[in-house]
Amino acid sequence: MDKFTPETRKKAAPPHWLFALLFAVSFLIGLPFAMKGIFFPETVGTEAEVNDDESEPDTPPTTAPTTVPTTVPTTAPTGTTKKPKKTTTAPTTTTTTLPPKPSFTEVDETYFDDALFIGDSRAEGLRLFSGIKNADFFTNTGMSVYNIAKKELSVASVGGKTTLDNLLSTQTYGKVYVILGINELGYNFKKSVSKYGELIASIRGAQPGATVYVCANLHVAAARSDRDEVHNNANIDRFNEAIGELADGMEIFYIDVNEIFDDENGALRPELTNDNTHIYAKHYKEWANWLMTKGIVR
Amino acid sequence: MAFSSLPFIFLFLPVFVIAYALLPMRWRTPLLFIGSVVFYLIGSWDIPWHTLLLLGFVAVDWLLGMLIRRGRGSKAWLTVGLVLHFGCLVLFKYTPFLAETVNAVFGTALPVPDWAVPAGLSFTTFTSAAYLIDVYRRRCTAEASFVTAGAYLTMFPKLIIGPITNYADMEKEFKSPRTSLPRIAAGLQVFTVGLAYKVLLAGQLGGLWTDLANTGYDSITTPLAWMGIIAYSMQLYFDFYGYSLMAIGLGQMLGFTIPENFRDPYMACSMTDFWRRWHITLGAWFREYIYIPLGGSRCKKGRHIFNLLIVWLFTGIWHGAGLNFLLWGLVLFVIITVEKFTGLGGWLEKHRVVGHLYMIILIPLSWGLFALTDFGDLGVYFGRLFDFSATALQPFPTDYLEKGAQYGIVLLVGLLFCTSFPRWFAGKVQTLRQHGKGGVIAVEIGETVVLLAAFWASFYCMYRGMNDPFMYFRF
Repeated sequence: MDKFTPETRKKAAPPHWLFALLFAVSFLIGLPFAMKGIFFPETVGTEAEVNDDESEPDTPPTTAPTTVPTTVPTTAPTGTTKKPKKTTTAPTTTTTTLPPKPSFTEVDETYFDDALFIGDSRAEGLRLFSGIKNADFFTNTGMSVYNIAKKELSVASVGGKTTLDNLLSTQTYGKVYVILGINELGYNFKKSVSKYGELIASIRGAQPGATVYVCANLHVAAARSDRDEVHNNANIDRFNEAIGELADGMEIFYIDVNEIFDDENGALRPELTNDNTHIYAKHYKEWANWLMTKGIVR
Repeated sequence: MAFSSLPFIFLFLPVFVIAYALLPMRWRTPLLFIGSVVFYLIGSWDIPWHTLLLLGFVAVDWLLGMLIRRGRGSKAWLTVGLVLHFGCLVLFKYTPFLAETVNAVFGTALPVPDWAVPAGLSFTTFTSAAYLIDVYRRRCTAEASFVTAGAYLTMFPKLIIGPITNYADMEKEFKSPRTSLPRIAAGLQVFTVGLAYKVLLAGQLGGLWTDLANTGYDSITTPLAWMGIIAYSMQLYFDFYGYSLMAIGLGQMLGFTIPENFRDPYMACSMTDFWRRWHITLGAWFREYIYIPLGGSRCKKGRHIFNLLIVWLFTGIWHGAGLNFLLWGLVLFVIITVEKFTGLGGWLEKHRVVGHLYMIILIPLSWGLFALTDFGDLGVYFGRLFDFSATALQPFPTDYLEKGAQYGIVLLVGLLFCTSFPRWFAGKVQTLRQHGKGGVIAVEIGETVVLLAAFWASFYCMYRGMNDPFMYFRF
């Protein structure tokens, strides 16, 4: 009631002139951004905002690839799972007797003793809920090939925060799983694939003895795929296919967990998810079990 | 169109307010009517006939208001109006639920309608009902001008989420809607505070509840379950309180006094007191148009309890067409009746420490019933709250520490803003303003800095969330 007495009314003037003026200024500054956000929402928060020097426009294919690419190694000679080791004697011939490609085999949890998982929120789910306790996880919601170099995360065996570079140069891993891609979909496709390739190359460089698993990105449920211009299964499949080509079947393998989570139309089964993007915690155990069918034992 | 969206703040609002301010007074009410219908149309763009329905009801209410006022057959006209409004509400909002329930109970295969409920229907129904009843009771005049009636019934500040108003309180303002730069500035300040509550507090806290839903309630630890439901309780409050403040600010800009809807509800010491502070205009509506006509508390004990039961069941089901909402209403009825009839309520208000502890437990638990519409989920979640191990599916043992680190700051800030701190602070600012010229300038600068920072932070969040339904474009 104080503000209605004459003295305080006088003292309450000037009536917010400063606020009004600065609000108007703020409004005008914000207006172009707001217009961009309203009329061009797909450009917000993507690499397209930062001037991309890729001249080729990014046009996703109009038809979705109908099959999930499988560039897993072709069948190795039966009974042979070991990759021939480098011997000290020089090869006597230069004929093309390629070493047999290793094939996937069943392994148990100890397989992950020397494993490193690198990835985004789906990989975070593996860290939290898969039951895999012996591996290292360099995972974070929002991780992408664009920000991974700058990330500093806590990793169990290091006992503190570390960058990926530091982790790869100080630890030795027998296998490295890379689960990235969903956060890159809004960016220029070629650039994303190229940066992904650089990441794989740097992992191989730092960990020459490790098996590298290029993991296909999990599909989203149809309810999302059908209405999202960016995060839909056509784009996910396109990215998966591109990164799958990095696999050589000898040191780098492409594995696709969608085979256990897809419905008949190649989308994430709706009963496995609440937000159409992440699976419920209880299903990460199935993911882990499936990973144990993809062991490479040399 | 949501108030906390870029199209509203940067397109609709400036255009409307500038036009409103520049027009002579007699054109403002028509502009408000047209602007509000446009506002509704944009928001319901995909279902244009919802806007026709809105206009249809304005015409019906205007006409019936005058017929009721005429005196002859006024009760009949009132009945027609109420049947039309509540019939429409039941049809759109409750038939799917009723059909489903009948099918579930009787094994029938009734078709379950799949239509969209017109936005704001629950609020407009109550506002219109209040108008017609008030005209009948002669508490307010029947508005003779179709445009003014339309402007009142559709005014965009309160069209979608209230507060629920009485025409008697706003009639005079419609006769001469005043605005000025100082009023607009003052209204913008209140609007900005509401926006910050909604975007910075509710928006952030909502992330935790969403995370838990995505994880699956069976995979969370007990501490995290409590953290989650407390975060939900805060999110719900800041969301709704923020919207109500935005409505009040908008009303102020246009020369209307929109009533307050929240009065530090989480500072209540009893459930009875809580519901005098939470969604005040809804409670007032139920009291005025249901509770008191039934006899209220001025009747025999049995009848009094019955009256309470009716009010709380209807309050529950008004909030949502689901059995969990009925259950929620019923639980509130039990708590409030016990408080009233055992003297517990009065005792708790005298022993405020115990009262606060009592509410700290009851508020999140009651919101749990409200938030979880699926009974399976409800069972699992309560199982996690009280650690019935049968409901746990390998949660990550220290999930609450990780979530605590992620949401800790906003949880603590949220807790602070649930107390009387904001109100106390505002009071202190008012006092400072009265201490001479220096005080005024200091307050002006301080307010401006804080409010602009809040505005910019909210803008950033809205902007980043533009193309990402999961906010900030991160997976």
